[in-house]
Amino acid sequence: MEDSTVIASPPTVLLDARGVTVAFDRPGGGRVLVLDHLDLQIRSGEILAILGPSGSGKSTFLRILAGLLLPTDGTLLYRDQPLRGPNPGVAMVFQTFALFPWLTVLQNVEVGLQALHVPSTDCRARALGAIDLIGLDGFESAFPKELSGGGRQRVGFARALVVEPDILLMDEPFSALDVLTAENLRTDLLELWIGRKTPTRAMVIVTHSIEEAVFIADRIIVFGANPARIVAEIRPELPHWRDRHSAQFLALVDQIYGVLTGGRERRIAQPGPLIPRLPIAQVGLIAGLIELVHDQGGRADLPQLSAQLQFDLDDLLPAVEAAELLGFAVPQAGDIELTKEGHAFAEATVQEKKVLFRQALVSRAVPVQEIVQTLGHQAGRRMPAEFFLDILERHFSSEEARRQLEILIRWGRYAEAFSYDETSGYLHLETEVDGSDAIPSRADGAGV
Amino acid sequence: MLFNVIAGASAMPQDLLECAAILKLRGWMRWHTLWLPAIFPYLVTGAITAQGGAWNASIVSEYVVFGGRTLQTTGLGALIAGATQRGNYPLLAASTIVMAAIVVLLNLLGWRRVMRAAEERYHL
Repeated sequence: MEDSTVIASPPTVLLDARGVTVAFDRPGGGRVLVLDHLDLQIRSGEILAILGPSGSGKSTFLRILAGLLLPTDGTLLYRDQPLRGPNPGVAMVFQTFALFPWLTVLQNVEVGLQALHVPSTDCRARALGAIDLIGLDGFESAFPKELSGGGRQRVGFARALVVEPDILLMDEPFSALDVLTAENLRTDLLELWIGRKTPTRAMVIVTHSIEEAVFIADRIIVFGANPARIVAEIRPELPHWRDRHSAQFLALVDQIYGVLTGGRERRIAQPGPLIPRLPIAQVGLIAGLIELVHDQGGRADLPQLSAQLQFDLDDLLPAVEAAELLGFAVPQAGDIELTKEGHAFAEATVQEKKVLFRQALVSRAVPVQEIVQTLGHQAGRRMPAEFFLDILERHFSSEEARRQLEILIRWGRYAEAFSYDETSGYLHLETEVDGSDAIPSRADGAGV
Repeated sequence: MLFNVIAGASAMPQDLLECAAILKLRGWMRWHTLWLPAIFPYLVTGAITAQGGAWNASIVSEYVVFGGRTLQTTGLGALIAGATQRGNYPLLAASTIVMAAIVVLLNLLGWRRVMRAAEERYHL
């Protein structure tokens, strides 16, 4: 068979990203770096997983690989040829499925072949073959809305695989599905790959699930955020099918959690934006996490917590980061351990929690300090939120700046460090919060 | 109608656009597969509004009094306007009811079917 010779030959470099950089100009001047000089090769015969916190530019990088987005700087080579438009050798599976709702399953799958001017009889046969392969036979004439989420994503896979791409790109393909459906589809995909039932030579999957990456990938690239750089490359050298409960599997998951939570020092040490990015975690989630860890004796395994809470990485990591930022916890090689302050917070009453949160916030979160100080210097102790948004927009994309302001306001309101009036759009310093309380000294914190 | 179509085009989801680019949909295929179906519901809404407006205008313009002269053609509009002027209330009532019935029938038999197709099949 042709397929086996392809696999037996030494791996060739299919995609070669060299110094890929993506930056956006801010309207008010300055640039926001999304990807910073990424070098990455994708070789035949491998499944590559890209992991990273949300907003780390992993989806942007996938769009670069697809040729949907041109890098600001650097080049992308597909089979040694620089790419200047949609990549001819890829197909893509989307998180949102991206099916044409007005076409039937069969038509959705045929579209890509028609665009390649495959003769119509061939077209029909290949589409039916792909539908069969992915386990959707019987649904050819159904419209996407008649299918379940899992069924729709199967159409997504059939449509991508039918054109027999060199490289299959997947943007969080399973994250919109429930756990069982996702597992089912993931297993089917891996079966196609291992059984060489598709001539596709490499797969790239962007995911926020560490377990998913360790389960299917031959190579895992971990992105750090702001701007995205590769912070680790891990090769789980385990044969398929991997046992999720084996010691090696769990060790790998732990290792990656360690990389993702331990990157903070390095990120802070880098010459970065003046205003550090706050993790987008709601107060309830941060408090819940601290209390849960406290109940478990002050130290907990992050993968276990994630399973217990049914959280994926995008929910859990910001909360861990926030707890770390506020000095309530420290991440330790895939575990999280509460500090003295963390234990105090967990044991405190509702009102005491607010005070502890405020002290932590004002003494440790730079953006909150900035806001409190700025407000304190104003005559009416109030400023429009827009003013702070403008400042944030100099450091972040406008979308991220909005998110940052929103989380700042939520934290600030909870802690009663400052309040926000929805109708006027003004932030103002709580009058009773004065001097020593607003900017507490260390001794203050120990007293409560 | 133009504004409706612009609204429809700007409501196109980003992932469908990306998908069309990766599938190399170009030229007529791109229109046929992507744009026309996506803007169809907006096209229909625009067409209904435009048709209503046009019919209104044509009815009004069937009977015009301008500079002391009366210009008129045969039609429902002229009938209604004439009846109003002459104070022929039974005729006025009858012709108004006929007009309302035409509108209702047109919507029921024509537009409603197209609208349903737009909502069911071409809804994004």
